[in-house]
Formats: sequence, structure tokens, C-alpha cells
Amino acid sequence: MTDYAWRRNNACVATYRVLQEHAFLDQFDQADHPFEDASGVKMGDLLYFPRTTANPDIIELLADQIARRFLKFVMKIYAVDKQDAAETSGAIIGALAKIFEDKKKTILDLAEVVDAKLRFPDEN
Amino acid sequence: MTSDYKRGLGLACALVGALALSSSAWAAGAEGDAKQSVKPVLIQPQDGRPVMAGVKYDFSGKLAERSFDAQGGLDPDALRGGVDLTYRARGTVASSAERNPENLLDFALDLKGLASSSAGAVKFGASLKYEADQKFKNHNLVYGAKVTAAKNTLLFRNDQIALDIAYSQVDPGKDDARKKALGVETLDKYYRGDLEALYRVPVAGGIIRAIELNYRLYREFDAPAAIKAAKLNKHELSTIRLDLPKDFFVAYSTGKLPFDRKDDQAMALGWSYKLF
Repeated sequence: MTDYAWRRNNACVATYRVLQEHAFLDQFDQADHPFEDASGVKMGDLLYFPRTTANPDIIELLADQIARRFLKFVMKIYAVDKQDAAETSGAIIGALAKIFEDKKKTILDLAEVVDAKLRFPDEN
Repeated sequence: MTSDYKRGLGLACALVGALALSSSAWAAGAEGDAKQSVKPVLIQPQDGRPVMAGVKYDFSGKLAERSFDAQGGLDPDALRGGVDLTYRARGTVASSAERNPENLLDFALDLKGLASSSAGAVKFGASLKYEADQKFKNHNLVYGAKVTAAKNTLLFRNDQIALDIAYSQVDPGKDDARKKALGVETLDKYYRGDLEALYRVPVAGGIIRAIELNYRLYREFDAPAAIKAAKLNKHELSTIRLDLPKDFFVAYSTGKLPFDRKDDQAMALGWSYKLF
């Protein structure tokens, strides 16, 4: 269980908006999971997660692809950059994909990776 | 040389060829990846005679690896992936090969890779294993290969498509239907091709939130006539699922899975629904 706290910081808000908004990934309705209650929503409950297969390779590659679209939309909303300039974009996408791949991981887990890997404009 | 050995040697040549072609760009596996274990053991033969001395060994490591990750600024379209080649050699050698109940040595090579960009993602794996007894009187070559590809937003926004194809050896030891069809008590291993195709698309507006289609095919190559007559050489499973609001769904599945994939069945055959 993570110690990361769900709150209205850039990472959590960006994660929620990109997952929820119709213009982005449109994974759930705001009425079903308002921001304050969204941290515990599991990846397996989101719209993208396949329900007819447990094939780990299929799930891994689909997670890679949605991680890329997730990052693209975060970059559309915020002028983010890498926290660690030496880390490759591939490694960051891989870290996001690891969350999307695991049906038990939560929106909070995803926000924690976003916060750890991306530097938002108001951060030093 | 049997056709199996020809295919296996062909795969080995392909693995070595892939290394040679790009050898200048490969990094040798790190020393930290290698593991070695050699230990003396006492072996109890099954003939009831006194225990005998032996040596159990297990060596494994990474022969080479290459990363494709692109450098530069934050880029959601950046190329990512890599390839690595690993090995493992293990077995038990006893003072008397004939009485050694663990009379099996094996050496395996595994090549795995992943490459992805915004255009799609591909993952592949190939393996080659040589098994032999201590005197190399009985030996066997086992090989397999697998490739998986996936992409989203192919036809519609946020849709997902994936394809998985594998060719591998199956150990049918517990396949009672196969034993009955062949009229034998013990079964030989055989080679089979597996295919899985998946398509999932969100649906805007209306009561249906998403539609998911899944098709699986399992086909045995060069199956004996008795297996074909019993229709055990080919298995298919088709599934369609409609996701509704509030995690409700309706699904229909038809076909059958082979004996070693029963646990992969994501839902019961026929209609499944969670309406209330």
C-alpha cells in the first residue's frame, strides 16, 4: 500500500482529468467517481482493461499503448518535463505502463508515478 | 536428421545470426546477471541400492542485451524496448548414469524482445532447449516461438486491437481424452500453434459502454489420424462481451479450449451476465 496522498495537486488532478474527461481517455463518468472518491478506483475497473483475456503479453502491450496516450494528454494540459533529465522517455512510459498493466493498481498508484516521473511547471 | 532437429537448428542459427548482424551494437550481459551453483549431492537410486555421490549444477546468465530506448526530451512517441539473450544449463551428474533417477541435463537459450512506439507495440520470444541423459544416449531438442502485437486508436478513438501467435511444444501428460483417442497410457509431446485475437472498442452514448471480441485457435501440427478423428487436433473459442453501465455486462462464448488451457477460460461457455 502506498504512502502517497491523494489530493488536489498537479499530479493527481492531471491523472484524474486525463483518465476521466471525454476529450482524453474517457475511462469513467465523473458522476460514478468524483475526484474526492477516485483514488481507489482500480485499473481493472477502467474502460480500457480487457475482460475476455488474461494473456499477460496482450495486457502488457495494450498497457504500453494506453500509457503513451496518457502521457500525451498530460503534456497537452500541462507543460511538464522529466523529473530526472537522464531518464529516457521509454523508461517513463514503461513505469506508467506497469501501472496500467496491473488490474489491481489504482488511480492513486498512477498519480504517484506521474508525480515521481514528471516535473510540473510550479515545481523547482 | 529429423524435421524437428532441422527446425530447431534453424532457430538456433537465426538466434546467432540476429546477434552477429548487430553485434557491434550489443552489450555483453553484466557479470551480475550470471549465476552459478555447483554442489555435491547424495542421490538415492530407485533400485534400492546404496546412495551414490553426484554433482548438481545450475548456470544461468545473460549473454547479450541491447536497449532501443531513444534519448532526448520528454516524448510520448519515443521508441522504447530492447532485446536480450539468456542461457541456462543445469543437471545432475551421478557416479552411475544408469542408476541416476535425475538423469537429465538441459541447456536452454532464450531470446526475448520488446519494441514499441505510438505506431504500435510488438513483443517476441524464441527459445531453444537441448535435453539429454548423462551419457547423451537419449536426447531431445525442444523449441518455441511467440510474437504479440497491439495497438490502440486503430479504427476508432481509444479502441484496442491485439494479436498473439505462438508455436510451442505441449506436454499432454494429463490429457485423458487424448489417451483414450490413441488407446495409450502414456503420451508423447507434440507441437501446436496458438492464436489469440482481441478487439475492444468503447461506444459513445447509449446503454452499451464497450464491445469486446476475442477469438482463440489452437491447432496441432501433424496430428495422428486418431486425434483428428476425435477432433482433438483443433480447438476454437469465440467470445463477445457487451459492457453496460455500473459494471454490468452481457457476454456470450462458444467453442472449447484444449486441456492445458482450461484455466484460461475467462468466463463460462454460453451466456454470462451480471445484470443484477
